[in-house]
Amino acid sequence: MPGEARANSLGGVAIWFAATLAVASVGVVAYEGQRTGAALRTRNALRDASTRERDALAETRRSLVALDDSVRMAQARGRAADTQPYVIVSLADNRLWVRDGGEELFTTRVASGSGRTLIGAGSKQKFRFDTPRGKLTVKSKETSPAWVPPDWHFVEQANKKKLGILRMTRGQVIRVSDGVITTRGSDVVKRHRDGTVTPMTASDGRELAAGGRIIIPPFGTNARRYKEILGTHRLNLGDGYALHGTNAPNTIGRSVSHGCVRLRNEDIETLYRMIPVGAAVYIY
Amino acid sequence: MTGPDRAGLTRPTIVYAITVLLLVAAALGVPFLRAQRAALVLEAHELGAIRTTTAAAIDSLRGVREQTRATLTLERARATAREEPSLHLVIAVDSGTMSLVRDGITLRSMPVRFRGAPSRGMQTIDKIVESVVGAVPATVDSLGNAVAAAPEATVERVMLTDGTVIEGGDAAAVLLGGLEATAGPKTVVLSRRDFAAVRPNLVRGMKAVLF
Repeated sequence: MPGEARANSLGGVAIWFAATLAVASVGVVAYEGQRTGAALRTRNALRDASTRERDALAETRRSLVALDDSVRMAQARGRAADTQPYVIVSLADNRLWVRDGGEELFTTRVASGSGRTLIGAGSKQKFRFDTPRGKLTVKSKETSPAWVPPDWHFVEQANKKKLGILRMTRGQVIRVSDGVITTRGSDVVKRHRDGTVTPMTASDGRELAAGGRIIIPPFGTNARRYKEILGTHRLNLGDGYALHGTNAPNTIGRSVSHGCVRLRNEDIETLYRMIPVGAAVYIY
Repeated sequence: MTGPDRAGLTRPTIVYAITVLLLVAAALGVPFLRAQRAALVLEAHELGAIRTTTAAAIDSLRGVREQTRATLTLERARATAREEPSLHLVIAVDSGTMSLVRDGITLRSMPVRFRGAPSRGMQTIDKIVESVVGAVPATVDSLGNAVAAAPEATVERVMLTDGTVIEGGDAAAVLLGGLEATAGPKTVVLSRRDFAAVRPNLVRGMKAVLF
């Protein structure tokens, strides 16, 4: 039976060989599967990380867009919406500018408050001739304005002429050598001894006087309205202050006024045309 | 061992059959798995490249975001300065200018020079002090006007809440602009003429925006 034994032996080897092949193929498949699984896990991890990073990128983009919006909003904040021209006056430079937005429309030299202090008789009255700093508004505009001199003008004239002061009220009768001075309607009049009545006029430097005193006429009388002092035009700023022309153009460029801002007549005329009522005037 | 089993098949046959099946499965499966793995590796490489690009884009955007944040801080400071209705000072550190501003309107803009880098942000005027200084040399101001020499002078200095000082100085040096790195208090120097022009408007508590 050696032939049968050899056959049995060959068959056994073949079976073992087949079994080994089977095990080897399982091993190879398992090995490849394991490697592919590892590659899959790596890919999945990368994909998750990539997704997170893409989300982070999108979030960064969103936050950047929001920031850009905030920048644009901040840039838009506080922009002047009105286009009305306004006036700037520098007291240190005695210069005026008209601007509209950032654009300069006009500039010229001016005269501004002297900063002097005037002390009245008996030191009871003090007047300081400063141009007010701050924001004022053009309240009204006039052509050929008349000047209604404030009290300080009469105090100043009285000091200059070494006279006293007499404040007159409506209806008051002031006795003088050749009659009386009183008011009638909008005039200050002199009633002479013979009964005749003549209106009295006054001007800068030629004020009414009686008995060694300068008369301060009542407000609203013609004797307290001086013509051609303030030039051709006036832009009133309230509280007695104004931008106005002048009959003394040589004073322009200096700090010599009693608080108003003086311009040459041709300049105030330009300003009169350019600046509407309600425009802001910034004085610094 | 060679006898028929219950299904009539011999054990070697079963072994061979299983082996053949496994070999076929391996022959089909291994290339498939390799192809899958190759695809996964390729995809991983692509994802890696995408991640690199994304990371670079994020870095770039973050840089832009930081710049935009700085711009926003600057613009907010500017907006605050514009919106402030009362008279205040605006000091632009980068452009070296100081402005007197009200209602968003620049009343006066002046060149300034800095001693020490001033801090940006909102300050207020803390006090205005007078001090005696030594001889003032003759010079020319920013408008070309001669400024006479003075043997000794009293100068005013405006102190902000963070200690920054605003003072008048030599106009020629101011016009050069820039920043001097010096010890001592941080100082904003403008020409004496400009200082004299704005000084009467400066009061304690007035805001000063530095940006």
